[in-house]
Amino acid sequence: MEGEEALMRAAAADAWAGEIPAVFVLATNEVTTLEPPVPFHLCLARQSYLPFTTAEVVDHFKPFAPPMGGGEPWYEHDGQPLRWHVPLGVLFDLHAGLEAEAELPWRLTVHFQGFPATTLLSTANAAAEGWVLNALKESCFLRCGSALPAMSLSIAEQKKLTHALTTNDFREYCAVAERISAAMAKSLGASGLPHSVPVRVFTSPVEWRQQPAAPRLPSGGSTRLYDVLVSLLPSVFESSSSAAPRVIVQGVSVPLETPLLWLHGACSHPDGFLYVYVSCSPPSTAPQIA
Amino acid sequence: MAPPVIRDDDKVVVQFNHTGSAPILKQNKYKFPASTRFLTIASQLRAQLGLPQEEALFLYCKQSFAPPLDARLGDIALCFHVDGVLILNYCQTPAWG
Repeated sequence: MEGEEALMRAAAADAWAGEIPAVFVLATNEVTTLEPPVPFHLCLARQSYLPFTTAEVVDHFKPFAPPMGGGEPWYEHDGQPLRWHVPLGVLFDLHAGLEAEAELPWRLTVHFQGFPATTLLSTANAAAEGWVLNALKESCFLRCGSALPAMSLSIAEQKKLTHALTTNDFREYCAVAERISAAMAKSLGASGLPHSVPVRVFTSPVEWRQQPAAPRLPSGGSTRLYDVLVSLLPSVFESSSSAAPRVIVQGVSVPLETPLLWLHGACSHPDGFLYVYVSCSPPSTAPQIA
Repeated sequence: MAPPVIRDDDKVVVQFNHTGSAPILKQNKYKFPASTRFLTIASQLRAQLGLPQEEALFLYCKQSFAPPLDARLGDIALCFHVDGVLILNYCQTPAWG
């Protein structure tokens, strides 16, 4: 058991160390200078979110964009606006998909105009912080039946969490996460088992599901990733005819037998949710945007 | 063994409770298809309240967090219902920040 615990911590540290090399260009119709700006290269932390990590990108391109544009910056990959409220690593897995290796560096287009307000939430920085805390409260509720562990974070601790996300600082994040787990452990009592494991399952960049997933099966065994997926997506996981779907967590294909609680401990995102991407179509038939 | 999945065409009962100075609904229980997104729930509530688009409206679950606007109602109901009813608090200023 102890070995597993150590392995889980090591995996969590690895997940935090994960970065995506990306190159940003300004949308050609928004370049107002004779010479277009040089592309901006940046390593994006998998555990963070676009608004926390792209301040430099905005500073770099702003002088070249229409001066009166002044709108909120937004990002697009292959014609699809990126939904900033999804963690970056998940976004990358969803958009670059199975050909992730071939996609590097991840090519993103920066826009300052025409914010797609119907598909994206407003990205003011406070909104991004609020978003993470809000999701953290939801995941706390799923785990221990109360959002108090997240709600009782002090302003200083909330700032610490934001700072950890901005600088990709795992140790700083752990300090806050430990505060939350200590508060949670109090309400969970001796067994320490959460009521349910917060999981969100994506099947496309805009389609996702979640459901309460108990850490133990009624038979007493540990719930496996498979058990959650088969109950959420029976048509994908019960039929034998369709091609085996690929199940990706933190950019890695994960065996379906993996115990859910362990996977959550190792690979969950800072908002307390475990994000799973189920890719149903093989790479050759993946829809291409012409 | 596995928790029941609410199918797309199942109906979910939502109870809207007003909070703070938000206007009170005459009827506060509604049924929506499980596949409805929260964005739709929010705009339907807005219509019921006669609230113009520029006025803020916040929806909270469990008096603690706001469900994501692209979340599926059936999923949130399965996670957070009480006796089959999903209780949502609505207000015009952020209540549980």
